[in-house]
Amino acid sequence: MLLFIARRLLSAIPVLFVVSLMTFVIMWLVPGDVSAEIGGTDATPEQIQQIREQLGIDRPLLERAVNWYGNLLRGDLGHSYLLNRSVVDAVLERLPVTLSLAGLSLVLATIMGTLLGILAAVRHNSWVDQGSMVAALIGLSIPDFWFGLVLIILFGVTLGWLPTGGFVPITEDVLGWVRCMTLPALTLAFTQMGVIARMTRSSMLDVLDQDFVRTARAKGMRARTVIFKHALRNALVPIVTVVGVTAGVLLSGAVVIESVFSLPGVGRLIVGSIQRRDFPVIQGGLLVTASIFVFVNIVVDMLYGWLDPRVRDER
Amino acid sequence: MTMLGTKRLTSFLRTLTMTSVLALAAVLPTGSAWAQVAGGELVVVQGSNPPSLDAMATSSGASRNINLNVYETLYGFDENVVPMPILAEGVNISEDGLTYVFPLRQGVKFHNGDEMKATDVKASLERYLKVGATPNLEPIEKIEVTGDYEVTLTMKRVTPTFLEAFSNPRSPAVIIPEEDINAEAGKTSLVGTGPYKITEYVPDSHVTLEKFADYTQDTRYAGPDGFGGKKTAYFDKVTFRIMPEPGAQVAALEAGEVDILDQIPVPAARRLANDANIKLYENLQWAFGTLILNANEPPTDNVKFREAVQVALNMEEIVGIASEGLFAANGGWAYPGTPYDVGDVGAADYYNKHDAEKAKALLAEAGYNNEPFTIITDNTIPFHGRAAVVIAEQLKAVGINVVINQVDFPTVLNLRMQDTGWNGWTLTMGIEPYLGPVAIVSTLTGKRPHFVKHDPELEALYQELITGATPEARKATFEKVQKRLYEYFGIIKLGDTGQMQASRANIEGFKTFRIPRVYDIWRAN
Amino acid sequence: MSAEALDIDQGKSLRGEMTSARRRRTLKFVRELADHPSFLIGATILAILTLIAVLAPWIAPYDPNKNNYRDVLMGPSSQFWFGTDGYGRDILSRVIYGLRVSLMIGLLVAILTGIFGTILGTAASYVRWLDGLLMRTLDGLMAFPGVLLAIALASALGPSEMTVIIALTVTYTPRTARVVRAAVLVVQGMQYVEAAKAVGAGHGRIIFRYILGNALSPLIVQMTFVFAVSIIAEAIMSFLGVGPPPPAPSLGNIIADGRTYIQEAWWVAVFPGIVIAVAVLGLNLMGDGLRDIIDPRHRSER
Repeated sequence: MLLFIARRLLSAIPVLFVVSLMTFVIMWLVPGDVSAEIGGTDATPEQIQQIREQLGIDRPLLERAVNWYGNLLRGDLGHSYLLNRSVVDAVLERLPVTLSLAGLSLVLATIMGTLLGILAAVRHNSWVDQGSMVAALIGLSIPDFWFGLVLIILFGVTLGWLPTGGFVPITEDVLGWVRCMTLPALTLAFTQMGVIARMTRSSMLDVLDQDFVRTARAKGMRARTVIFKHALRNALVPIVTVVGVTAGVLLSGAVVIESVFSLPGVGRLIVGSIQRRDFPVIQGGLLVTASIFVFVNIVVDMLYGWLDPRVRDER
Repeated sequence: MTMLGTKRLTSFLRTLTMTSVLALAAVLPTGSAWAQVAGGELVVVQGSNPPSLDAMATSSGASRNINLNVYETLYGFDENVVPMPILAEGVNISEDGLTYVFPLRQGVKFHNGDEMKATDVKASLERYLKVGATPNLEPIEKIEVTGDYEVTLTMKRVTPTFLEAFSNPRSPAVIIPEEDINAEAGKTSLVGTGPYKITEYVPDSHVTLEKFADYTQDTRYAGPDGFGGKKTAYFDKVTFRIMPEPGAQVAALEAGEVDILDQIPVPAARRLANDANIKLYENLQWAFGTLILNANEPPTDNVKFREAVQVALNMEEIVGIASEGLFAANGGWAYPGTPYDVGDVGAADYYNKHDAEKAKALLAEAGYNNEPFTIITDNTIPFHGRAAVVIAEQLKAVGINVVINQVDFPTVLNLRMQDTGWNGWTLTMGIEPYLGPVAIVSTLTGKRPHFVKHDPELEALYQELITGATPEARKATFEKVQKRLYEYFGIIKLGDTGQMQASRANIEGFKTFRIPRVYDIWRAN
Repeated sequence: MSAEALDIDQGKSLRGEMTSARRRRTLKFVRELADHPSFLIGATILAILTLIAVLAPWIAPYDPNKNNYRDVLMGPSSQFWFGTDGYGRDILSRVIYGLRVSLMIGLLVAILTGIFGTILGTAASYVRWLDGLLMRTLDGLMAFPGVLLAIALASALGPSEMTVIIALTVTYTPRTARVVRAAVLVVQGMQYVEAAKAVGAGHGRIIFRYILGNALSPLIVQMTFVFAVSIIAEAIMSFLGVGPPPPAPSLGNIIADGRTYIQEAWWVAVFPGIVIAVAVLGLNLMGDGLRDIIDPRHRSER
């Protein structure tokens, strides 16, 4: 097992290298640089040149790339051009927001999706089945920003139950954290639960059909016990797989949700940095999010092996 | 602390302050129903992050909104855009116009507790010359400390408009402690002399200000006036929340989570016009909408072509749609009723003509042959993109082959620095028309005029303008400037666009201004 | 008869059997599709929407880009069925034309990811030494949050429908490539491919005839889903300001424009929103149907 983890961690290195290399290529393609943001609308060409020299953006890309990798090996991701802090700090202070959002919505999506999926599988080929599956699909069919704004108006203004945006760290106020994260997490979960619901349904159908479930039923176990104890546990494998894939999607989705709900998360940090051409933050931020994605997938693979010994043995 | 977490706490505090105020009211003779209430928290919303809280190093409006509640300048504009002393006692200008002596107010405290002295002023102005975001102080030759509370500036040349430039809030020449003299741009200790001090900045979330208990009020005045005057901080804490989505901003205001929206979409304002919980503030003289033409790149290098564009446009439709209905169709290059307003001199025959026949005739005269006319615009400021779309449709209707290139703001600024590759650029000028003619004309002359190619005639008029000895003389020159702009057609005035602001109904004392002033406003009981 | 000739003969008959088996399977597949309720509903929805999109110039009541300052943000009426937007443009006409753009973007992204996914997936599974390199690169692309990649590419390439298509293609190709690779790996080990190799069929022939033929089904399912996801992704890109540029309408940029007025002029965002939802739902139903039929585990259940 340890060997497996070590191997997976090692194999993450080339992946992350590819990510950082791609970031350089994109930065090379993107027109304009941070000097425009610093200099403003009326800056003269001389002022712009001065800013570029100060920050070293006038140097050739290759030289900047070599420097960046050199610093990376020393664990230094550089300094933001605009935020007055190191890239590591800039990303770390945002991470709790994005992790809260992604984590909570993953939980919500899993709960809602699994329930819908089980419901559909248990009442297979009935209107409940069709209805749950359409419900699951609707989340996939509506742009999340629009859905989020509707939720804000409904729960924030009309009903006045929940705040319309902003972030409270869990360390400061647990209830406040729950209140401010509910709507964003729900929005994001709504777009993700469909995938989980469908996977759950089909794997449940497979499992329900298998001998041991039939046996259990024949032995007179109550239907609910059968479903939850046996069937669901076996159906966990595909759910976990989906969770791994969804983790990446959630980080992407977070970009939009964070701006609708005014959350200071990593997604908005990176988008803002792209828009302002704050290259060190783009580089560092993408490296961190990619690392999280890779890490989550390693965990998922481990869970996978733990849930299904056959998979582990194959490796 | 973050605003939402403190919401419960704040309402608790609010009740506390209210009771204490009530207790006071029982003892003291009560004033009018307008009695100011001290304490509590104010939440102001704006759409974008301040790029920097180093006031002199940025020209961003998002920064200015916050910074001018925190920092102060020697001179600043009063409500009527006339320079007034703020941290200075006044100014003595020598006969030859080359020496400016600024006696300073005594006893003014910085947020760090130190007193402001001449050495701090010298250090601040010297730092401005290095990192300041405008060339406003460029005429200064030498800065000398001529007393504990006196600074003397020696000029390179006579500059009658220097005091205006010195008062310019765009990138204000704020006074900061001497210790910050060597701080790189954006790396100061954030200490100023204003009624509020900065306590926290979380980008993409909020900036928190706290009432500065030892603030030294300027007792020469009766109340606040423009950027100066006697300022009183009533709220203990002021939070500027950064909320990018206008829809979410309005929702937060309606839910009562925030108190002031620096800008509310006009349709939302109309909907809330009769809402008893909301107050609206309208400022019609907020910005000029303009279309800048590249006089260096075909087909806009041809003045006949540019004229065709000018006469083809229906300004009411452009500015009406782009501003969502809060505008004035004004072809003049000053706001109506302001000192430099010269009416529609030069504009009468060209502005808002939507004359397709004349435009087509001019296009024929220019030998236009369906070359692409590329408008660059950004997706950051909604007015820019919307104006570009409407302009494009109108120009297509007279047979111009328009291409819209909507990109993000850095790309626009990068593109417009190129001499070629673009023909039109939609830009709102907010602070320039507020500052007056010099500020406007300076963007159209000098090293890099907005319309790329120099117009020698305009350059000459600019020199005449900045050296004009009296306001009357400058106004006469400005009349010539406006006429010239309607001959050169390098920049097309689309119209005046307004700004709509909103607050909760219990916010008293708020007046619309270039920045949301968070002092001298309070929450009614 | 030499042993060699016998081998070739056997190979021929083996191949003959396989083709006829494939033909039979194809027929069965079509029959099953015609029978499958969710596939039928999805396909019908898509057909209607496609028809509307194709006939846009004849159906749309107004010029979708015609501004009208007098009729800004008008509610639905007999004159403007879906109301007007902030420019006074007819939303119905814009939705009809926008459908055109959105479907075109979705379709092109689906086709392009299909092509590139197939090339990369096949190459990775067929050429052993390429596998590691290609898969790590694709993993890298997948680890790159899709929206951010799209924004960065859009900033780099400038705004256009083509940019949206390229950005989404780059984002979704890795997933498609993985699907193809997995399918090909399964097929590769199967007897008839081994047999074809044994009788000396060329690489090209093996790839096109046997391997891709069998990877096609999962690929088509994947493409249907990419089609659906791209339509939503276009809306999200428009929200972030990097969608198809104005004034041309797309379903996404109409919704993105209308989000500021959700309370004042709900019709701007709601009508295109419904159309997007219907389109995506239709595509997903189609994809589900296809998958049900292709995946033998589900076949028996119905």
